[in-house]
Amino acid sequence: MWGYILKRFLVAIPILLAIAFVTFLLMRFTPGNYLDTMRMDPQYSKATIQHYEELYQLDKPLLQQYLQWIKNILRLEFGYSFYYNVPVVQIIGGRLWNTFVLSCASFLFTWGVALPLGITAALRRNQWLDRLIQFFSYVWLSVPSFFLAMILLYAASQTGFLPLGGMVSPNFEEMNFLEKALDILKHLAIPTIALSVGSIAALQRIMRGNMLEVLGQQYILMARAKGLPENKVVYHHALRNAINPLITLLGYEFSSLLSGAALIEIICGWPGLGALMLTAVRSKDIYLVMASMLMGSVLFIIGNLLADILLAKADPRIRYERG
Amino acid sequence: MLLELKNIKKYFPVKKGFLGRGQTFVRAVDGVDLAIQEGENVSLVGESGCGKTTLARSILRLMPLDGGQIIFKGEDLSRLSGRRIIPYRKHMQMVFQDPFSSLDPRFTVRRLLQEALTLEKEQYKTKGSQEERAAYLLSAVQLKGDMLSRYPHEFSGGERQRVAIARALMLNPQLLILDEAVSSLDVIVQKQIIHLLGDLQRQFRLTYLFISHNLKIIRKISHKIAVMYQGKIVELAPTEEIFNNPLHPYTRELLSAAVEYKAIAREEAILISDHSRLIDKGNGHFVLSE
Repeated sequence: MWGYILKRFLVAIPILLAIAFVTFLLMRFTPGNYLDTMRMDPQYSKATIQHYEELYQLDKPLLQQYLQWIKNILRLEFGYSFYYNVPVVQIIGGRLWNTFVLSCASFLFTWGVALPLGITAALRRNQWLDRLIQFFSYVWLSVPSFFLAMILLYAASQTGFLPLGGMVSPNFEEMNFLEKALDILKHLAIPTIALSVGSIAALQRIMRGNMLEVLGQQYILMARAKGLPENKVVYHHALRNAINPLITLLGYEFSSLLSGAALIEIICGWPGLGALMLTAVRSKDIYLVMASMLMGSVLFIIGNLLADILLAKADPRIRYERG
Repeated sequence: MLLELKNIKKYFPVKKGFLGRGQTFVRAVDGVDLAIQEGENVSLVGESGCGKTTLARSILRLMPLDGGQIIFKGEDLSRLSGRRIIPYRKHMQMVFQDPFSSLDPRFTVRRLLQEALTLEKEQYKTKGSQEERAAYLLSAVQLKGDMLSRYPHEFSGGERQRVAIARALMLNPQLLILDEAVSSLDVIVQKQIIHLLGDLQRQFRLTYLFISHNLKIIRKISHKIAVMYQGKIVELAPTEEIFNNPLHPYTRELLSAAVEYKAIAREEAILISDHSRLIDKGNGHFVLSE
């Protein structure tokens, strides 16, 4: 098992290098860079610009710049944000946490609602409750999340029940711990719902489909024939098998945690990584973009690995070779 | 009398008209009468889709009945609803056709077997007694004791079917329904399993209801054969009587379809109407006629 994990990490290194290289090329081949903006700004002295050029070897050939960047990364120096004028790590850290909070909330909400819905629908196949769930799934699948976010924000502005944006209220610092938590939860509500509703609709359908397929298997009949009560048949035999394909999905979900929320973050004014990355790309803040990309890729790889390990734990038919 | 079926009916809706009107049904099982004595192996034969499997599952009440009575040792099971049928399941067990999909891939053989004891919790309270019972039955189906901690995918088809049989016997049933239980196995393994079934019958005083389209195997194992066609039993007679003196045209066709019985050619058209009844022709031989 450990050997397998180590192997996966070793394989991940060239993948990460390739991703970084392509990002690097893309950023360099589009015209202009952040230094051009600086040069046009009379506030920056020639010496400062020169300092940056030397620091990142921006006057050197492309490959050398790339290798320099890699070298810095190995020393855990992710570079400097031109736009924010601080080390990249400082900015990403806080933003990463905010996005993580939002993604986790959305993730828990999505899975917590979708799985029971899917199971319920499958157990009441083609009855009115199932049809109702399927009807609303179609509706919600067709509503774009940003549109839903806008509607919710409009509703919030009319009722004043929920805050209109951001992550905390202006008087956040004066609150005690409980009030702080409640305040963040309130701010979380709209972006979480907007992010989750479409995924709930989709995931619910997948769960229902899996469950129906498993319920048609002979070992379910066999479990009934054994004289097991229906709830044991459903939860011990059907559910455990139906959940299998979802574990793979879980890995992908995990990897898209950081990137998936960008649009909603921007609309709801959530200070997350997605909004940050967009500004960074537009202002050609190259090291910020690359550090974010790298972070996303690492999460993607960890997510996939996590899914594979979970799958092996859950399904006795899957075993990984040693070493 | 171990089991008596009276006028069993199971219809499946195929088409639904506007607002549920004008619904049409497939008569999967259409008024079946059958009696099984203790220790008397009965076989159900017929082509695919004739209702054999549906009948078997209806007997175990794994699907709701649309009519008729199931009388097991004088007790009418057809009137018991939902939860109350569960305790009776221990008397009748089933081995399914496909050994690859009939064992839950997530469960070890130990768990699969011991879970079957849910209905006999009183008798097998301790882990030790459950373990003992599972090991005993595993040896009864001639599998090694160390196979208990293995998963179904680590077994061959024949071994899996042995596990399925052991599982079915955990509760000490009186009737074992074998639904095409050897059809998916190769000929040698088939022979071994049939031999095993003979041993088990003596050891556990079982009665078999054998469902198959393989006439050769049926001839070996059953005392009585019921030929099923389009949801009805068209002929019912002792085994040799069916093979030597098939009366119903469908039975003849079935026999002629099997290579060894080529001599009997099909002569008459097969007619079945709602007015057909099983007519006694003597020697325990019944035929469906107008």
